[in-house]
Amino acid sequence: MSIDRELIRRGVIVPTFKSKINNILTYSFKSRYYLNYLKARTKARSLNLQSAAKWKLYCHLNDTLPHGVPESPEIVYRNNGWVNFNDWLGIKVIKKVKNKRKPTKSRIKTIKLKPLDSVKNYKFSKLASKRLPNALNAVKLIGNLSRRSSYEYTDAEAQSIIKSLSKAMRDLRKKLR
Amino acid sequence: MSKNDKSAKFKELARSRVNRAINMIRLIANLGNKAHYDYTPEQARKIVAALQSEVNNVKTKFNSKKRGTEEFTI
Repeated sequence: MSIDRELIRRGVIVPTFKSKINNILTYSFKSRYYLNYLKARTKARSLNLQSAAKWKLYCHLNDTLPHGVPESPEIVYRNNGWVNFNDWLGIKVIKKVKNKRKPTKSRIKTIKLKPLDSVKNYKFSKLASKRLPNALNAVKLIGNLSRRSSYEYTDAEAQSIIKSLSKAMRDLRKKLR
Repeated sequence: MSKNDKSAKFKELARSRVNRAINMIRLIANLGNKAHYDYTPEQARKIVAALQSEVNNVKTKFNSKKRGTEEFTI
């Protein structure tokens, strides 16, 4: 049994005639009669309140609302035209228009890092630590050939050595990426 | 030691040492094979930087004309 029917049974609420409900300008909610949504909305808008919170505050501070306007329109008109408080109070909502321009592509390249294979990395570091000192030593020995007191060479010969070393380094860089 | 001897020695040593160095660098480059080895970019950068600095040393040594060419005068 609903609360309303129980209250009617106990005589707290007096049931009203149905003829009033049929009036198109009014809407009944729990035995109270309110104006229909559009009429009530125009009255609420005339109060010039700027937010739902201010509406609630107004309702709390003023005992008498405009005639036929409910305190909780979101409940009274929930099935009869309720949109939201912005519509109820006539607040204009300015939507921010997002900038539709495409974001410029950044010039920084993103490198996707794969998870490191620990076994392969171990092999790499083991071999690299063996081979690198040997290679460094071999290159260093070439540098010793630059001693003019011990060796005689032309600039072209020196340049060809440097060229071949540079080429080897370029290949190394290509492979070790 | 005559000039010719010095030149011949240089050529012989240069040929063997440069070939050896290139071979060594090639061996390191083989480590770039991702099918067999895996490494971080930082590891690769370190190896290349170490070798490059050594090669740069060689370059500066050969390019500096002062070395060994100065003649003592009074």
